[in-house]
Amino acid sequence: MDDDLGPVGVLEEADTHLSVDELLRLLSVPATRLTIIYLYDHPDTTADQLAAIIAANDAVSEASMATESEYDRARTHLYHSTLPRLEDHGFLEFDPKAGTVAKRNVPEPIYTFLGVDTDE
Amino acid sequence: MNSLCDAIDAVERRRSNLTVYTTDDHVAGELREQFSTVNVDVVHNPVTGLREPGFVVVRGPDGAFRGALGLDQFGAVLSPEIHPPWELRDTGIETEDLFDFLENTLFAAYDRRQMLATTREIEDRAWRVGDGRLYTGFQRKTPFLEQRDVYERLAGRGTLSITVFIDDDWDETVEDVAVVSEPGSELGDFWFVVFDGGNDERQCCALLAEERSEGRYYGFWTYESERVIELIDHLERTYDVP
Repeated sequence: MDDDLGPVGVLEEADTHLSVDELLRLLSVPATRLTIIYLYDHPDTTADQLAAIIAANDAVSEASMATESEYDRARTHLYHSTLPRLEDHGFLEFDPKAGTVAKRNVPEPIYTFLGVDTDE
Repeated sequence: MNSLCDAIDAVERRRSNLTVYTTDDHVAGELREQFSTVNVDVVHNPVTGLREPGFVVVRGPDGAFRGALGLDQFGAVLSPEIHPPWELRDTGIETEDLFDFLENTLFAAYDRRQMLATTREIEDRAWRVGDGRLYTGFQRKTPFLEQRDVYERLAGRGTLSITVFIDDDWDETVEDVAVVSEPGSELGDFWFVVFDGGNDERQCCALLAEERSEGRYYGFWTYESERVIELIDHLERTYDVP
C-alpha cells in the first residue's frame, strides 16, 4: 500500500458512525485497506483468499517472498482482528465457520481515500 | 511406480495454480504463455485499486497456498525462460522457497541442447558432492560413448557410484562405470539423470524426459527427495544394477 494517505478531508464525507480519526486508525492497517480494496470488485470472497493477497502484498513491500508461515499469520490476523472489526462497522459480513466474507456497506469516500477508481 | 512413464504421469497430475493479480492484461497473458507448456494453470485476477505491478500467488494441487511474490521479482527470476531450480539458486532471491513451488516442474518440447544443459547441471552437482549414486539413461550407446570421458572422470571422483542405462547391446568397458544394457526396453525412450545426493538429501535432483518425437523431449525435473528415491528404486528393481 502507498504510505501517502492522500487527502484526509474526503473521509469527513463518509457516512459512518466513526470519526475521521477513528477511520484513519482503522485504515492505517495494511490488511484492512487491502480487504476493503479487494472487496470492491470481489464482493463475495473468502478469508483464505484475503490472507493470500495480504501475504503477497507484504512480500511486495519487503521485496521478498511470502511463504506458508506468512500466509498463516495473515490468516490468523484476519480471523481474530481485521474481519470481526470490519464486520462491527458494517463494512462486511464474515462467517468464520465457512470462512466466507461478503461486502456490505463501504461508504464511497473510503474508496476515494484508498485510491480505488470507482468510475471505471 | 512401475515404469518411467508412470513417474511422468504422476507429476503431470499435480497441477499447480498461479494467480496473477494485476490490471495489466499484457503481463498476465505473457505469464500464461510462459507456463503453457508446464503443469501450471495461470489465472488472471485484476483488482481495482491494487498497487501495480501487482503480484502472483501460487497454490498447490490441493489448493493450498504455497507462496507469493511481486511480479517484479517473479519476472526477474523467470526471465527469459523457466530455469531449472538449481540455476535459480544463484539469483539471490529466497530461492529455497521458490523451489518449493516450482518443484516437479513439467516441461514440454525440450530439445537436445536444453536437455544437455540441464543434464550438465546435475552431473556438476554430483561432481561437487563427490558421493552418492548417479544414474544416467542415455537411451542409446552412441550418445554415451560421446560422453565417455566425462563419465570416466565422474567415476573417479570421490566415492561417486555411476551407472549408465542404454537400450543397445553393450560389450565394451568403461572404467569404473557400470553399464546396464536392456535392448527393447523403456530405456530407449527416456533420457534421465538421477542423483541421490550422497548423504545430503538437499542435493537430490533428477531429470526425466520421454523422447516423444525425434529430438523433442517431454518430462520434468525435481529436487524432491522422495521422487528422486522413487526413481532410483524403480531403476534398481527393474534392471540389473550392480
